[in-house]
Amino acid sequence: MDRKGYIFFITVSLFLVFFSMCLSLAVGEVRIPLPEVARMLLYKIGLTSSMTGAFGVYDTILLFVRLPRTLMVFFVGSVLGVTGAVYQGLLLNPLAESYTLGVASGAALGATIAIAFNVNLVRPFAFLGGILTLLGVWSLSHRSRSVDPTRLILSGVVVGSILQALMMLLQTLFPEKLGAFFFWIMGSFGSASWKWLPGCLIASCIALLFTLLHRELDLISLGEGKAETLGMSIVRMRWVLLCTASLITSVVVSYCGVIGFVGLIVPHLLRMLVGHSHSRLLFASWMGGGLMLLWADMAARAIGSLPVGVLTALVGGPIFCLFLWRS
Amino acid sequence: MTLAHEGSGKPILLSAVDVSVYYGNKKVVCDISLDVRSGEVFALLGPNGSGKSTVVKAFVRLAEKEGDVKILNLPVESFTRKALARAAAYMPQKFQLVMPFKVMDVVLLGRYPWLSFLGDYSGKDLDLARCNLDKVGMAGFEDRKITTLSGGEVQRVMIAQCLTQDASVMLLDEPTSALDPKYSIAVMRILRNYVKNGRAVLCVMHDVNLALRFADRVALMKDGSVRYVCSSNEIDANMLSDVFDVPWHIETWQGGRIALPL
Repeated sequence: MDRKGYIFFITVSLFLVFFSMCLSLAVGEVRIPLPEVARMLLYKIGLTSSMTGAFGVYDTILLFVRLPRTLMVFFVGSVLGVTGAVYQGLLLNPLAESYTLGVASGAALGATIAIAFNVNLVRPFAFLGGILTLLGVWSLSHRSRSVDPTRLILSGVVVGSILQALMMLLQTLFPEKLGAFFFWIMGSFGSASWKWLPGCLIASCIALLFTLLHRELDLISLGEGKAETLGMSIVRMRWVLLCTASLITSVVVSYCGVIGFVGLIVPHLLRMLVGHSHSRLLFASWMGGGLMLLWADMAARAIGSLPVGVLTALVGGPIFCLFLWRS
Repeated sequence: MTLAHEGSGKPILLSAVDVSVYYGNKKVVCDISLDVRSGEVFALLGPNGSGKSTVVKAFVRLAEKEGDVKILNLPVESFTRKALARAAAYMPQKFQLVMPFKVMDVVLLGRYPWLSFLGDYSGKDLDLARCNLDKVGMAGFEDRKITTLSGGEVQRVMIAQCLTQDASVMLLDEPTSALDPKYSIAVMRILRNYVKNGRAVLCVMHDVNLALRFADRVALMKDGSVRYVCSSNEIDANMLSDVFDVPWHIETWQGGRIALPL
């Protein structure tokens, strides 16, 4: 894709994001007509001064339920999309995503422990679980001055499996809390509110900042020796990227549970459109991740409040298979 | 910056004094000393496993070492990573190219040491990259994915990247190993041109004839130590036989010399 094509792609994507957000505000158990959504949004940002019709009824639904949920879905999706691309570039593995290093399993285990033992700190526990897992995986794979990506992935997979086994053990020991556990395993935006939005917004902004490090990610893929001799401290850069990506993943997982496939599929699909260079891929993944999750959430709501993780896996899985078949 | 001048009077751009290099606890290069001067193509020759690549890695801080290694008369440890990359371009023997980046993107990464934190490539950088791709015979390949190229084409792209790095010295580990005779000679000519304006090249090689023809000086290595350092004109069959453990014959032909293992 040449420069003009990329600018066109970004413009269309931005329009799609805006359109999808408006649609997400309209879709749900109470269907709100799109003109009403537009009128309310224009009124709220001060571009119109009068309201008509059933605006008052819709006001509460839009402002206190759908708007925070829609924004949260987009921010979470953007984080998962970017971190997926970052992990794939960092670990030089096309199968890597935000959860490869067991961060999501750690966060879900943290939440499961809090739920099982009635500790009213589910989100902090989830966040802590993710971070502790990253530290464990890093210390397992860190030998001398360098970190071998294969060793890192292996450690992540093994640690993730152990954590999942522990989660299953807790589910067996506390069957009465299966419903609450289920939320963390499949992911949901049912509890979205303005209260949780700042955390997701900050995580999404940090994800956007990764676009500034696109050249460093390109360099990493040339190999450790080449990257170092082109002037980059690869150990420090790997640590910074890995920690930051895991940190923001833990943040979003602590809000909405484990949502798979977004980080895996979005960068792969976008590489076919914008190419492999991270200069374009990271921003495209930021928008693409948000867009995919917006549609998955809308579909989940339209079908009847399904956990969004089920939809991303159900739709994402076949798309990924199609991609594998065609490539 | 004041550069050391010894012997020939040309400034020394690369020097190693009593350098030993380790992989873990194993000493793989023992107490070697050599220097590469401005305007010089210096070839490192020797059998497999003699420590040639390890010596090159010591110059760019990719191997644990003891002893003094200097680039532009400064200890390599005193450089920041970026400053070292501006002083010395390095091409490894093997390339890890898992991502199918465009050829142009890979070559442009050679400009990374010259960019500020949020800086972008200038028109000059793009011109330099295009010019170097042209030099190595890869013009027209700018938009091709690097993973679709042959081994020799990849090697030429990586040489173009090193040229684009525009460093004072180039350290190349077997730059012609995957190239056909036409491009091997073309690359050696590029290196000769590169050193014309006072730069230097240290080059690990296996082709003795290319070294005889294009290198100014040669170090012959065996079992982790330098056995001989001399002008390429001074290499004789006995030296080669001693280092490579096979008899050699050197023939004079059309003003040049050809070495044949027997």
